[in-house]
Amino acid sequence: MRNDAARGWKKVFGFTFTQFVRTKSFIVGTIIICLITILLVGGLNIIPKLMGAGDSVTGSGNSDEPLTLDSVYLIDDSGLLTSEDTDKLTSAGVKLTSTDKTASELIDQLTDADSGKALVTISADESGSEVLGYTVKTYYSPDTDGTSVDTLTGMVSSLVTYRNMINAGVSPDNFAATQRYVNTSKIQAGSDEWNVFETMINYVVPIVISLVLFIMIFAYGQTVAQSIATEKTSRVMELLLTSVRPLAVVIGKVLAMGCVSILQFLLIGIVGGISFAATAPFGIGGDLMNMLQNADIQTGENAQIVEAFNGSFGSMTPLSFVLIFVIFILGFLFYALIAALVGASVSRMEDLAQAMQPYSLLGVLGFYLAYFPVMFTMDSLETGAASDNMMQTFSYYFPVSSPFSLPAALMVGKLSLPEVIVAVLILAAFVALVAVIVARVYEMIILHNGSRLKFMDIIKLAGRK
Amino acid sequence: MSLKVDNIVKTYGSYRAVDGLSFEMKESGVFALLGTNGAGKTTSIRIILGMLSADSGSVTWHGKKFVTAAESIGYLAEERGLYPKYKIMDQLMYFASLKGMKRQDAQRALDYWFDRLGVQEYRDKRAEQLSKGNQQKIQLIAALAPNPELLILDEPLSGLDPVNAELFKSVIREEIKKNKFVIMSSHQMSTIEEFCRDIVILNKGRTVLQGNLNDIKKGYGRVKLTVKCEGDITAMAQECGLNLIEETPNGSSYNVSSEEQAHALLNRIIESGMPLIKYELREPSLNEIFIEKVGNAAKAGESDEK
Repeated sequence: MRNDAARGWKKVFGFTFTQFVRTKSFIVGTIIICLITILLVGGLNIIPKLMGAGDSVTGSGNSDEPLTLDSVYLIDDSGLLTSEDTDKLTSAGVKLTSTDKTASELIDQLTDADSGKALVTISADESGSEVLGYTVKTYYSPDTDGTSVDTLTGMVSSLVTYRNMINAGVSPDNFAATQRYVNTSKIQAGSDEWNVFETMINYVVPIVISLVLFIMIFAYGQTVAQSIATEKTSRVMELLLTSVRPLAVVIGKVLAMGCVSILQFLLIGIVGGISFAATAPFGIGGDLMNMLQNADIQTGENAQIVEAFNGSFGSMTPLSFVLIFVIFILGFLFYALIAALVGASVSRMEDLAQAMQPYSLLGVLGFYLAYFPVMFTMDSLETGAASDNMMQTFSYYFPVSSPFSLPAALMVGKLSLPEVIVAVLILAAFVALVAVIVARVYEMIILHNGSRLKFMDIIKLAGRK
Repeated sequence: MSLKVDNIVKTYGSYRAVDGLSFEMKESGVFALLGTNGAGKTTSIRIILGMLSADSGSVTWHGKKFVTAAESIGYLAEERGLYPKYKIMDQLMYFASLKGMKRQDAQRALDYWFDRLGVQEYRDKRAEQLSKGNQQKIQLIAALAPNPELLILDEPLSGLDPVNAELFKSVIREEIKKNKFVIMSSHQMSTIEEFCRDIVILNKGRTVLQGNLNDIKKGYGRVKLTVKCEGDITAMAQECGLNLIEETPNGSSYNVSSEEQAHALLNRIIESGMPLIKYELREPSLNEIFIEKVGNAAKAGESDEK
């Protein structure tokens, strides 16, 4: 790029930036997004706390919710349960009510009853004299708490299992031994093994980050196209071109919109941070921070959460932040330069939407390439194993998707530093290629009036000497 | 001190938009670039300004290659353009800064031109809030604020009411007095005649007439005769070999081959005793020359195609 070709870009940058941040659409849009952020961050912090979440972190809660059933009828047609079993139910808070009515009469009664009433029936499935299994059914009156119904059903079915085993000759101690849990995992040899919280972080963070980056890069790229198309179609461009070269206009505009994008998201980030800090003492955020800082309560499940945070974000260094910023800038340049070409290719504003279609397809393709591979790691939520797939690896190195997928991969330590640097270099090379094409073509098309230039027309122009 | 355009050619595929345009402005003054729509005027101006690159030919300014961004140029484009949503003062300060003006100088120059063109009240308005005429004034300010040596005005008076057209003309006269080089393109031939010394007439990219306007007119001689009498002079005109071109309330117009032919008609009218109201023998107007030249070129083009 020759210096004289870019001379004046700083003035274009300054004017574009100051004018854009003074537009009503930017100011109102930013205020609305900030308000939503305040509500969202505050809400996500406080509402779960109000609903009881996070109590396990502080140790103040009790996960065994009391049953809210006023009366429970039990009809055991199988004859399996003993009085000892029903006593267990009673001692667990089940308000058993004796009755002479049949099951069908009770079901009719429950149909018209108020909430809080239930009937549990136990029947044996037999083949001749052989019992094949048992069926436990719970009928409940309208508007009854579903959680209590589930708990009741679980209690009775556990008792059925227990009594069946005892009847089969298993001692209570041996039965307890059979109730030990068995976790299963499928782990590809050589890959990392995560706990469930770490898996969730590695699942959620890439999706959120790719979405945010998509908005920052893609949406503001569209603004670049709109801005250039406006200048061209309103004929302001002709006036500008008596003072600066077209390339200076592109550079100034693209960088200005990149800075606008960063500014807006910084504002949103600051507002979100303030909202978090303000609501943390009353929400789960505060509990989480407390847990991360207080080694005394880092036990059991809490220890897993701390381990997940350290495992996912522990590898972040200042260099990681620098690389993320570089990836953002390169990604923005990649999309904004293409958008600038699209904006310059139209002669009428009403043609812009149609001209933007290939750009939109490219952006959506990039986003989905970054997003879908994360969806494919769903199984790791269950198994706790890190899983990789070819598409995810491809998305890190493909310049259309890497601006959306690389930063998250870097944050959660999915890629090693050399791998990230290779991906960044590939992206940088493609940005340079796009910049060369833009430099060759932009001057030719910016004053083109008439029919809209198609993609192949632009490629042909790029190939001309 | 000169602007020299030397044999510039611009083609789009097989279409030659500009075909060998050459002219030179050796001293300050107004040069007219004339032509029908699509004749290549705007393309020529864009090439001179460096917005478009020519296939061949050159443009030099004071003997050096013309580099638009490095020179002091004011440009009023044919298709006016302002940012519709931005404040007038903001965009004019921006345009001035792109021209390399310091903030204070720009402020001073803009204040002067706001007063001169009577648009002081619009400085904080958005462009979309202004009438077309006032937008045109703002764009003239953008062109004049840097006090350019070379001023290119593409259809400067189109769309203006008579009062504002006169205001623009007075501003252009002031710029001429300041020894500016002005290139003007217009379809209003009376305006061109009022300001321009040298002209080029383009037709389909080719130059069909070029030179000093006075010399061109002198070359034609006084060949346009307009006569108005209180009676019918048709028979007398026919006896003198004159064919009627046009008859209007202002009189009958004829093309004459010589001044003697016109005088012969005058003698006959006097001899007949018919009261004579108007007798005018003059050089052709620029408008008449333009129509003749472009018309002839069009006919030549048609015969070439046949």
